[in-house]
Amino acid sequence: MAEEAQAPQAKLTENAFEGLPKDEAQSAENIAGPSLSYMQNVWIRFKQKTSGVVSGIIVILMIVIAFGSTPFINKSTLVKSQPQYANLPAKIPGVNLNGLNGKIKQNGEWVDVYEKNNIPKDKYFIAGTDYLGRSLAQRIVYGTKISLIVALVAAFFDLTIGVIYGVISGWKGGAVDNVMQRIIEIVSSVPNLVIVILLLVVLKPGLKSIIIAIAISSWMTMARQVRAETLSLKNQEYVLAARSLGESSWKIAMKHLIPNLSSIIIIQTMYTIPSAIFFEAFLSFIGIGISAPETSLGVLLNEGQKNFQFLPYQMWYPAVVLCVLMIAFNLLGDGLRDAFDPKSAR
Amino acid sequence: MSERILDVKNLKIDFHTYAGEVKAIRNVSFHLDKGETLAIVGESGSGKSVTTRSIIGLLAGNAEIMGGSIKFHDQEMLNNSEKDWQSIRGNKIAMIFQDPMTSLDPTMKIGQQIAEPLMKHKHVPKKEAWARALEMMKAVGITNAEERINEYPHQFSGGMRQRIVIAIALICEPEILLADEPTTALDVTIQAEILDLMKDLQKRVKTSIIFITHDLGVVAGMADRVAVMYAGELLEYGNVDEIFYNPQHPYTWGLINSMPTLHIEKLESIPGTPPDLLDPPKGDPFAPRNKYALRADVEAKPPFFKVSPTHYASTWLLDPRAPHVEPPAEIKRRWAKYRELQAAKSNS
Amino acid sequence: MTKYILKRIAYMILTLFIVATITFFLMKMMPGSPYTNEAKMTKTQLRIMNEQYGFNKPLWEQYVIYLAGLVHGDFGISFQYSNMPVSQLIGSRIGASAQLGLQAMIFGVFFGVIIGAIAAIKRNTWVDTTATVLSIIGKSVPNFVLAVLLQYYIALKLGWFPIAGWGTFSQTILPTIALGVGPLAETARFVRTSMVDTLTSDYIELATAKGLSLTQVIRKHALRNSMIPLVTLLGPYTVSLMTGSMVIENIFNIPGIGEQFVKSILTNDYPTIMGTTIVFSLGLVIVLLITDIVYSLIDPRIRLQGSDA
Repeated sequence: MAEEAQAPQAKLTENAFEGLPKDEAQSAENIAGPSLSYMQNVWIRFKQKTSGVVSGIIVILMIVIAFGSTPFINKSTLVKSQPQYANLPAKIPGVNLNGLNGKIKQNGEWVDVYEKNNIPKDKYFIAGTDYLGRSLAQRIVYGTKISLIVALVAAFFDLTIGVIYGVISGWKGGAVDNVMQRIIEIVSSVPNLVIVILLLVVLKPGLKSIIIAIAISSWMTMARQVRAETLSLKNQEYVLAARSLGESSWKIAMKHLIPNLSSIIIIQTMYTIPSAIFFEAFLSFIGIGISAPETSLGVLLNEGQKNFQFLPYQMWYPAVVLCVLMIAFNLLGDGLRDAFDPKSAR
Repeated sequence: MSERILDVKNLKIDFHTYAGEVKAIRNVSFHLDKGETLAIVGESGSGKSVTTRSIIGLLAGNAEIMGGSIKFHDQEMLNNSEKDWQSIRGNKIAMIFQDPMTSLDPTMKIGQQIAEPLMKHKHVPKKEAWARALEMMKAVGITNAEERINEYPHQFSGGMRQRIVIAIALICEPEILLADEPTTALDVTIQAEILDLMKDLQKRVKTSIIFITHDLGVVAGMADRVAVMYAGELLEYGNVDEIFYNPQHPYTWGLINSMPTLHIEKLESIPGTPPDLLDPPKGDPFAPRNKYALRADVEAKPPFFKVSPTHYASTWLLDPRAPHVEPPAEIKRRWAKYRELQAAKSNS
Repeated sequence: MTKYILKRIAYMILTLFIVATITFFLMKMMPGSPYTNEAKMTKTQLRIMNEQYGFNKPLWEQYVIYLAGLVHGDFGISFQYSNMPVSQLIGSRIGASAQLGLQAMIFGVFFGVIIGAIAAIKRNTWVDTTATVLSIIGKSVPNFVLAVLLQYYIALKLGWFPIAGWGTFSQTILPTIALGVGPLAETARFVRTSMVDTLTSDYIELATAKGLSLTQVIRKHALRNSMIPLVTLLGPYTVSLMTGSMVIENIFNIPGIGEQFVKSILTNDYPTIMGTTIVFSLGLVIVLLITDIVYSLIDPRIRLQGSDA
């Protein structure tokens, strides 16, 4: 044998060949660290990913600004047009950067529009104004609020109709499941935007109609996912055990199903939100969504697009806000997905 | 002494993880002779899979070989380029994985999957390779092979799929077959069939086998020699009789005691959990769980003490200075039987 | 297989029937008049117009006539272009939409697969990060915003492509990109995830243990297995392309049915709205059927329900 005893002559203490007392043996076995609960682990993993955290902060900031500004920016302030201030570019106090100091490029030269139009020196519009002289910043904040309301509504219907539909379909199984799935199948083989557009044509365009449209169309993916997950949970040993012990369906749903469904519910909600925001912007952009006197990011984009060649800022600002909002929700969704399901983060 | 085809010396493998360096394999040495079967026994996490994977160059991305050597026919494998490995894998050294349900490509015909290594390594044209694949399917006991060669994995049962995996591994007649718990995922009755098949094919193809398992019961009928692994280190190795009837390391005692046999009335489990390999113990890694442990086991790593020319164990209990300890009853029964056998052998 | 397809076609007809019914009654509930100059019309004129369009008949009769017409491919007469049958209107415009949609789909899936596969193979490197960032942006930037930006900066400023219109291939490029970026981003994300799953699977490890090189493993095993599930996204892509076409065709002034649809909504031209809705739904159910059939053909594990073993 080649593998002869060749370990270096070990230095042993005098009483090395005594039996090891029990407690000393135990102490040699060190404990790695306190064990963490599932949610603690999720939180730790979420915190590790910068993009998710930053997106979360952006979303919270946007919510605070959009809803906190309601006393100052609301329907009554939106309608005030000031033609004397029409189409002014951005002018931010203390900033001397072309494009943000009241100057705009006309025929290749930077022209101070504020000076040219004899606007009082102390008048500032931090994101410029639109063709009626309304502050674009105010309108963007209001539009963001509409987007966030739409997001909340979509999330609400996802969490109610979507989750309940999915749980019932998956849990009941059999004929009930069959019928419920056929319904989803038929509804989802109609491009839901078409149905929504029809609804908007029939109802008066506006936030209410968009909310109804979202209620009808947004929850189906959630219902499908929840059903699939419920179906697999139903056959897990611990749920089978609870059922065979005679626990009521309601109690099982509350104790076993909902906690285990929570991750896919949260993740799916985060993905429904950007598509709902897109949805509203899209409808408003083609002119059948939110309409005057209210405004939304889609409306602003539509208005801005008309003048894009000459006043690009009127489209750029709402476009950037809309994109940031969408990216933030998408990244937040990715961050939560990776936190709940570490396997997905490979 | 028969021809030595594989020689592993002082192998050290680390895993880079977020928590730090996991010292998964520490100074592992063993060898494999032509035509023999070596069983590596240990519980999950003992590093037996990692060791075998290093022999075929299939370590995970975060693993790094920190030292030692793996010689295949006097050829140092640790210097292999990826290209060298590719010409060895599936050709000179093949591997069978644990779970046959997931080891086969679900969208490729069985025939193609079996023929693939032959086409790659021996540059056999497709038609001929399929003909060989068909022979191989018959050899591993798949009935109706002519038809089934065109089927897909999901059309086969678990046992049949493991036969296919074996066919893939053996089609190039490799010199070494690495079998990583090949029967763990299978029903007990099918386990025996697969083991018989492997033994049968080993004789035909004249391959050497490294057989990894956590189940000592499987080892008895299968292996020529046994190595016992724990927490990334070898604790004891020897011929199969020596390990089963003359075990010296308390961990081997524990393994045997937890193995159901006719004589054991109450199965003993080994209390505790393996040590944290981020900070491996400096002595015998089993010491914290070992009720026969000496102070020396904690203080320093015991050397391999020679029990017989083929049998070595790493425990201070074999040191001349060590006190006499009473092993469990089952072990004493086995020792007695071993002495009888030895006596009978020397008399004849 | 035949049995399954027949069953699916029955479902398709049911779906279309439901769509037609919903559309019909929604349109009847629509406020306002279809005639742009109703105020100026005399009672007689109004009666003649109503007779011409069949509005004097009871609702159920109008419904039956409408359904009977649908079976023959008759969607009624457009209000917008007087005396132009809706079927003819749609027929003259569907070609452009179909071409644009197909081009966008091919563009999106082709580059999406490449980007996704490369990201998966080089995962956790800067290549992967770049691909991930790009696909998040592609997924998040609304296609109409992108369309306006492309039109202004690429067509108007740089002059690389025509600004708008339809007819030459170069006119199709910008709208194809604007429409295809969404599916591209989605495909890239999907293929990356699916490919990473595949690359860490046991059968890929076995393929490596056979001695195949990385390229061989990817070409022979990984690519096919990770692309098969992509087929299931064809349905959602079709929906997003149809939606997108409404606004992209508008921005680039393309004579397709999406642009027509928006126009007919804004002018209360409801025979056209109804006709277009049904054409969109028909398109989607056909794509969904094709998806199922293709899936069962390329994945040996899938057996269509109701088909004979």
